[in-house]
Amino acid sequence: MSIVVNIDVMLAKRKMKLTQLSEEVGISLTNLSLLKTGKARGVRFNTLNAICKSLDCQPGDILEYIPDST
Amino acid sequence: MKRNKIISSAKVLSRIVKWLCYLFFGLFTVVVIHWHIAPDTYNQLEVTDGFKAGYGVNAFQWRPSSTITGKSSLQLSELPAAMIYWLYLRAAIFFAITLLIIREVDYILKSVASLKTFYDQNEEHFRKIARWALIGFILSCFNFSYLDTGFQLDFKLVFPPLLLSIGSLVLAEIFSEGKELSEDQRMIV
Repeated sequence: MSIVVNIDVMLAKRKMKLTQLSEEVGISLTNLSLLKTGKARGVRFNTLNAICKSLDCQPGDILEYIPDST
Repeated sequence: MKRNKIISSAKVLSRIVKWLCYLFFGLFTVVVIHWHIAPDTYNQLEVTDGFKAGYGVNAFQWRPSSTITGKSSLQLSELPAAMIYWLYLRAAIFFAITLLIIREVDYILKSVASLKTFYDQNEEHFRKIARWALIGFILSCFNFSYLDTGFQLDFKLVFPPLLLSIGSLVLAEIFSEGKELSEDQRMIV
C-alpha cells in the first residue's frame, strides 16, 4: 500500500514502547500492532488525535504517502 | 443486549417443525412396517393425492373410506408394494430436505442470537438452504404412479421451495456484503 505508517519511527524518537502508547491512547495492543504493521484498513480521527497527542506530533509524522513504483 | 423475542420465537418454531418432522416420519415408518404385517388394516384408508406433485407430506391425504364417494379413489391396501416404497422414499427425501434446511436455519439463529450475525459462516448456511430448497423444488415438481391402470406422470410447478431458494440466495449475498463491511469495520483502528 502507498500509505506508510511510521509509528515505530515516532516511538523510537520519543523512546516509547508500543505498550506504553497503547495505555496512553487507550487502544488495544492488537489494534496498535495492526496499525504499526500497516495491516489496518483505516484510522479513526479520534485514534489519530490520541496518538498525535501522546507522541506530541502531527498526523503527517505518522502517516506518509509513498507513490507506487508501477 | 436485550433478549430478542423474534429470534427466540424462531428457535422454538424451528424446534417444533423439526420434532413434527420426526414424528410424522416415525408414524409413516410405523404404517409402512405395519402394512407389511397386516395390509387389510388399511382397507379403510384412501390415498387421494399421494401421486400428485407437491412438496413433502402435504401431497398425501388419508381419509376413511366411509367418506369416499366416487370409484376413482384408491385405497392404500390396493397399492402395489413398489408404490408404497416409492411414497415412503419420496416422503423420506422431503423430510430429510426439511430437516437439513432447519439445521441450517438453527445455525443462523444461533449466530444471530450470540451477536455474530456477520462474523460466522452465515453466507454459506444461506447458500446451503438455497441448494436444498432448489433440490426440493425440482423433486416436488414430479411424481408418478404405476398401477394396474398404467403409468401416470404428474407434473406441477411448486413455487414455495423455489421462492425459498431465491430468497436464501439473496440473503446469502446480503450476508456476504455484511461480512465484508463487518471485517472492514474491525480493521479500522
